[in-house]
Amino acid sequence: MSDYDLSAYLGIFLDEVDEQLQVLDEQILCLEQNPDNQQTIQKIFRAAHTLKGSSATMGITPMKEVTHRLENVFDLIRNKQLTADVEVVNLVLNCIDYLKMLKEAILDGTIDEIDIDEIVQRLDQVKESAGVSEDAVNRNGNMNNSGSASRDETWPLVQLDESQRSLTEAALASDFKVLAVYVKIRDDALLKTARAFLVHNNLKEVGEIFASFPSVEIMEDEQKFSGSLVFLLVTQSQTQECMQLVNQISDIETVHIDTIHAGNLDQFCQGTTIRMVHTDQEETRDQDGDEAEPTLAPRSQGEGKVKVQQTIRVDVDRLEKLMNLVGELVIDQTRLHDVRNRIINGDCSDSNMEVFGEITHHLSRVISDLQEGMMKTRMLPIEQLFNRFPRMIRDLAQKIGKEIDFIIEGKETELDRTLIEEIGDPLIHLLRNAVDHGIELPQERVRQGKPAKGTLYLRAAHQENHIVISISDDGKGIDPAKIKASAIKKGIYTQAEAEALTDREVLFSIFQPGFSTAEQVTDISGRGVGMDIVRSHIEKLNGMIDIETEIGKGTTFTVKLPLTLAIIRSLLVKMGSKTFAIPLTNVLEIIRFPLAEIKTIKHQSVGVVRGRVLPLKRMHATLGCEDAGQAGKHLLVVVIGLAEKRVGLIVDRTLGSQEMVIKSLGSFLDNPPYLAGATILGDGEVGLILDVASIVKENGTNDDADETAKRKETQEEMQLAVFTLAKEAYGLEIGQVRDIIPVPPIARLNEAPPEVLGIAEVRGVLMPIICMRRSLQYDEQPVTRQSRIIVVETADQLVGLLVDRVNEVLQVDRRRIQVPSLIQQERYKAVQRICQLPDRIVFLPNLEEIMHKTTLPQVGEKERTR
Amino acid sequence: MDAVSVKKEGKFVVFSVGEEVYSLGIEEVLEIIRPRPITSIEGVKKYIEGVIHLRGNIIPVVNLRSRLGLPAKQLDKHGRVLIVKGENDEKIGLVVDFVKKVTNIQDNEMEGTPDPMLAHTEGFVIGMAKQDDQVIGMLDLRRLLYPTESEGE
Repeated sequence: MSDYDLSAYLGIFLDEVDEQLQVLDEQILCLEQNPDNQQTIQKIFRAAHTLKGSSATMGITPMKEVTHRLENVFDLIRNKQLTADVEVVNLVLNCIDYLKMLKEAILDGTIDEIDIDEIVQRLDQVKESAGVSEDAVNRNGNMNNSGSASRDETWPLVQLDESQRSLTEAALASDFKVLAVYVKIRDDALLKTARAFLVHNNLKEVGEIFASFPSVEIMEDEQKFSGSLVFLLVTQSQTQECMQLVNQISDIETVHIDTIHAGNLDQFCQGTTIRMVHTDQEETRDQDGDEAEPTLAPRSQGEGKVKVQQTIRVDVDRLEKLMNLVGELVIDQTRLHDVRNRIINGDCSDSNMEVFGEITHHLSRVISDLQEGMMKTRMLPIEQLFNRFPRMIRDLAQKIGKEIDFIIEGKETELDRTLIEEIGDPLIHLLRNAVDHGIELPQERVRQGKPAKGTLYLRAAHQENHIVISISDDGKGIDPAKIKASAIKKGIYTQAEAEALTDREVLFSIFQPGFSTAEQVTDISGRGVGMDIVRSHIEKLNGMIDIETEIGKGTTFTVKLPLTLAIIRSLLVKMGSKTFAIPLTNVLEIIRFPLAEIKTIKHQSVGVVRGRVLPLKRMHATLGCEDAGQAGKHLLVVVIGLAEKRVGLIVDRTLGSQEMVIKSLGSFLDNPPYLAGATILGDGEVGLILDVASIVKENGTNDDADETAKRKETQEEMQLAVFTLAKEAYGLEIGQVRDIIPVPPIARLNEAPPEVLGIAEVRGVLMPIICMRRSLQYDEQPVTRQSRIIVVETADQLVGLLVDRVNEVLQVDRRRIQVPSLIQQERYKAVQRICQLPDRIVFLPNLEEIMHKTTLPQVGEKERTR
Repeated sequence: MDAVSVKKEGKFVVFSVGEEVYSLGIEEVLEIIRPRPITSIEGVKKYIEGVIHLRGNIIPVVNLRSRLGLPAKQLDKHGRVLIVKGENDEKIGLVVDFVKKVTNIQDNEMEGTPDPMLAHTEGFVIGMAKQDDQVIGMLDLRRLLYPTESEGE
């Protein structure tokens, strides 16, 4: 085992430790609920056993010592010599904490500094108090092993034929040893055959194998091969050496070696089969450990931390898909090259351009698939995080004398691994709060007619591109009046300010720094540093947090997070010569604001947008961009918001939205203000990502008070997507519009009505394309660079409408919309309403009318034409 | 900063800023690239010029001229960016006027005491070397990139 580099397995080992500790944690909580559950006890015993085995193999003695004793204790419990009372459970939990500490210590390279004597002693005490000495336990354990093993560990019959017998005799005569090596491969091991051959190969290094039971044919057949095998070996090596050789192979459950000598040769010839031998793998490994303690190669003294390669398990199917996508990328690249060559040679014909367009189109699809696929490989079930909580809740509840049913839902929900790491702390905080402040003491609950046991739910679910995690308790809820009082006392608001706040605003003030209503500071929570950190942490992750509460019924905190941090959709804006990216989730709208209507309040430019005051912020100087001042009569304002706050950011130009990869600015720059990171733009330059949170925090106004105004507005106002057809303005209600895209390649259809140009594939969906010019009886015009497809949804399918250009999205007053009376022309039959604006008229065509007139090709037909 | 007070002989990258000639150990310089568009960043230390994009990485760039307190000057075609290794293996760009050569500097060519000519660099220069009648200031990269609070502001 000397040239066996264990450090390579350290990562795997630590993963295993994590896994087993998780099992221990979970199962022990089960055990506490149900101390007699044999299955649970078995599971714990096995976990301790596995840990002992692997830590011994890795040469981590302290961990081996602790797990060994843990195993002993559970052996007692298993044999009903000890009951798992609270004391034992607490001790075991303590023991798990030690193991966790040891694990950390392995990473830090300080394993030798950890003192395990205390826990070892306490574990020994428990065992002794049960009146069983160490020896007895061992004997007991072994007996137990033999009991369970004899069930399934039967080796095949070993029977030597004449030639084998004479070979053995010849070998013995010339001073060779003949060994019968009994190997049992674990039942749950995969590729038993392969492992059998590994055993075979390893043994061949030290001698000659002259017989195997069962025969090689059976071993080769994964179905027939049970995993037990016997090799007969002629060798000069020691038994111990052979044992080690076999033990190098993973998933070997048991190895036993018998020496064949003249005395027992007859027996072997008659046929012999042995039952269970108690040199069970872990114990042989223990021996190994004692003889030549394997040490971790990189653990040189003083060097400190051990570097562990982080690993991640990825579904092979997912990898396969990624591979296919990469294949497509390669094909696209070849095609691009091809077209490029043709264009370089001066062939700029339309067909070439079309191919070029098609490739870029395909490329962007492949890349977005690739991106999604890659993102999925980074996704982990949130289980990893959630599993840590039951233990925490139990400990907390016990400490403060509350009874809590903790229910987790949606553990399997997947999200980005970095997010899982980041979201842990805020969730712990919210859970602690729920236990400490939310759920009442049992007596209190009973007095209020609630069950003595409180219920705490932790739920996770996907919602579009977000993950929503909610924590709800059935406790006393949050009383706005109390919060108000406390906020005034703490000086967060003045009396007058507080009076003006809505209940919801009051509720949100728990996120203010320095806030706490707890009458008493406990060591669980109540210091008032917490909720503000929770909130800023979540906002840093581009997430949102919301509270719902009802006095006496309970409180629900909802955290909404994007699925990934690595890639976001952003709006690109130009300020001076610099390009900035604003995360699209924070962009509420883009407006053109008349210069004349800017007002100044307290040295701050503001504009009134739909009845609400919006601070207008020009950040050119702060962000180091040259400020050309204002040309034209309008300001271009990007309204950015976070939670309930809004700011209008004045920009020079918007460049459209784009998916972008977020790159960190690194530690050298030391967090420049207002920047959240950087990204690489299409032209290879660096674009800076604005930190909406900090901008909004400094300048934002509260939007919440205008909630009712907003609602009223939506009734009176509507948004129109305005497009042009032959210089006339048409509009569609924004709700009908699904997407506006450049014109994709359109496949013509033979028997379609004249209005239908053909079908096209838009983001993987096939849809008919209707030429609005034909439909409304204008002269047809070739597709230009400005032409767009407006994707609308009809009753049963998506339809693309080809228009000359899309101008803008307008906010109009519903009262401006009229139903015209005297429209004679045929083309206006489909137009039922018009919108009268000060400077022009926008026609609102009735989509149903247009669709009705045109028999659209159905999906089935589309499939055929493909 | 104690251990790096004296440089050992070996290979050095020699470059100039204005009339002054400096060097960094070859192991400190990861690569030398031509200048590319720098995106400036506001609100950081003033000798940090901004960030550049290098093969998918965002790299902060320090202008050696302004770090040494020399007047700013437009780079000509000889201008280069040395990509050097900062703390935690972070890559940092260092803008210089001209990269002269990579050369071996022997122990006997080195002198401990800094030239009074280079007084304005106090702290960054940890040694001098003389080669072909040229005085080369040997820079302390860590001092240069990570000044203590009182310096460099």
